Amino acid sequence: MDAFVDFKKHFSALHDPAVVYLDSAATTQVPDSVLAAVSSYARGGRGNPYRGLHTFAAKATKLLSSSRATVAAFIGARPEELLFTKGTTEGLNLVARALGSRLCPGDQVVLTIFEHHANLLPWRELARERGFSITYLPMAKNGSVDLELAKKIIGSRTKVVAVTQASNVLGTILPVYELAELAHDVGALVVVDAAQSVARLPVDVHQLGCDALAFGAHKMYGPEGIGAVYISDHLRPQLSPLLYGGGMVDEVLDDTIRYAEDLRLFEAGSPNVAGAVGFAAACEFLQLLGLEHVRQHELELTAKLVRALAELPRVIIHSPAPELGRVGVVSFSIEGVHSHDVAQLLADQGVAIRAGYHCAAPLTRCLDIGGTVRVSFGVYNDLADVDKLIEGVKTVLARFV
Amino acid sequence: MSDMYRQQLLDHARRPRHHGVLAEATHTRHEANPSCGDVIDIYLVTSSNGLVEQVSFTGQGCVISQAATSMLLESVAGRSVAEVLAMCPEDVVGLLGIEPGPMRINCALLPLRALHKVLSR
Repeated sequence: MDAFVDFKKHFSALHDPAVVYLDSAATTQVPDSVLAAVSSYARGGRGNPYRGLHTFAAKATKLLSSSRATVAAFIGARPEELLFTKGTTEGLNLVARALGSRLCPGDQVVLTIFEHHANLLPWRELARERGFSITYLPMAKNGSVDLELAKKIIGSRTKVVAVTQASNVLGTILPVYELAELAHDVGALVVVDAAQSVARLPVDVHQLGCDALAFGAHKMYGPEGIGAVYISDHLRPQLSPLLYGGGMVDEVLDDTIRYAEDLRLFEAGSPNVAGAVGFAAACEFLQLLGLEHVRQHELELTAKLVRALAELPRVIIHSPAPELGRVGVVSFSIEGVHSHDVAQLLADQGVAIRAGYHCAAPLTRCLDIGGTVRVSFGVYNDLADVDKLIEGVKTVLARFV
Repeated sequence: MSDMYRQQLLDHARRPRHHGVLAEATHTRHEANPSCGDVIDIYLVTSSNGLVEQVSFTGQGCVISQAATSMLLESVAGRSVAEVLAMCPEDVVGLLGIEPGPMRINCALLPLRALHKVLSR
């Protein structure tokens, strides 16, 4: 925990000791270093990359390119493999649209019951259009997916396996490496939703062997409105742009259009340079801390939380995964009290958590839990935050039960 | 501590009035609030002269949504359809006696939305 002592001082939003922020799976707070990078870009003069020859435009072009390299390196990718998007959702939609629109009746896409709607609805919509089928890997007794069952389900009909690396509801870390191998054995492509994992676990796309991996900056201490998706060399020729507009063409003639042959094809419109700069600064921030330390810190907080919750009456913990099998995200319910009422009373005490279905209806329905209270940690949390949460839950119990 | 959970609200949430299914309903409506996951089904019997004669509901969800449904239905029983259609969000907030705030207002307005949709058909 040493690296994280007094760590809140790096986050202006958390200077007020009355604030207990435990909703980092929704969005993280931003360290001052990231804010400084973003503001320093704008103060130094904004420009529109690839457009214009003046100093500001040249500087913006350079910054966009160096930011892309930093973010790509953060997940072990080369810059030419990384597209900027507005967030995880856009990345997953881009990939689903490209892959799904080529599928036919008889083809199968394999998802897991843990998927966030961002990795579910694009496939559901395309399945309706194209007539392919979707199979969900269910939750096994160990709280994750059963690889033996996955081996039976992933077969010659399987064209895509799209899976979240860490559940945004339960924190469960899914066996993406093993699933990727099973998928590749049958020639299927692998899409990873890394929204919750990328700031919590070291991610290396080449080691993982995935074809696409999407994530967003705002869940990893970066700005809102920017994300990225890794696209493998193998997948890139199969993608088509979601948007058409400026900056994506080499030549527009009366009767033909020659599109850019690099990533610019997928980034039509003026790029979000400030976002990219902040995104890169966030990656540097995490690199400086070291993801292994972040993980250690999170495990310590999670262990204390689970222990303390388990001692309270009427509290049911919904994260069945063993300690090492999950990231710093824990869901629980209080018998007889709706999760939003818990959230409200905690909010009144300055404790920020998330309640409800967490945009993962298939999972909450399968667990039959009608919404959960979710605690999710960030690098700035400490053991005192856990104490305050537990005090808050005791107040809820006293009030309602 | 929030007065969002004042006694009257908790009482309505715990012992909802007009709870159950009205088999002879002339109007029924299912309404859901995705953020909280609140669901309600309302059942109404309206008369030929435009009165809401009987009301009932079933549902699951947070205290605010369930108490608001119970209190709103209690207040519309016996009133005219036109009067109910003329009700506005402020009327519901007035009934609840609390200010739900931007995050909970959808819970509070769930029953009004259901009533308006089903009665304006």
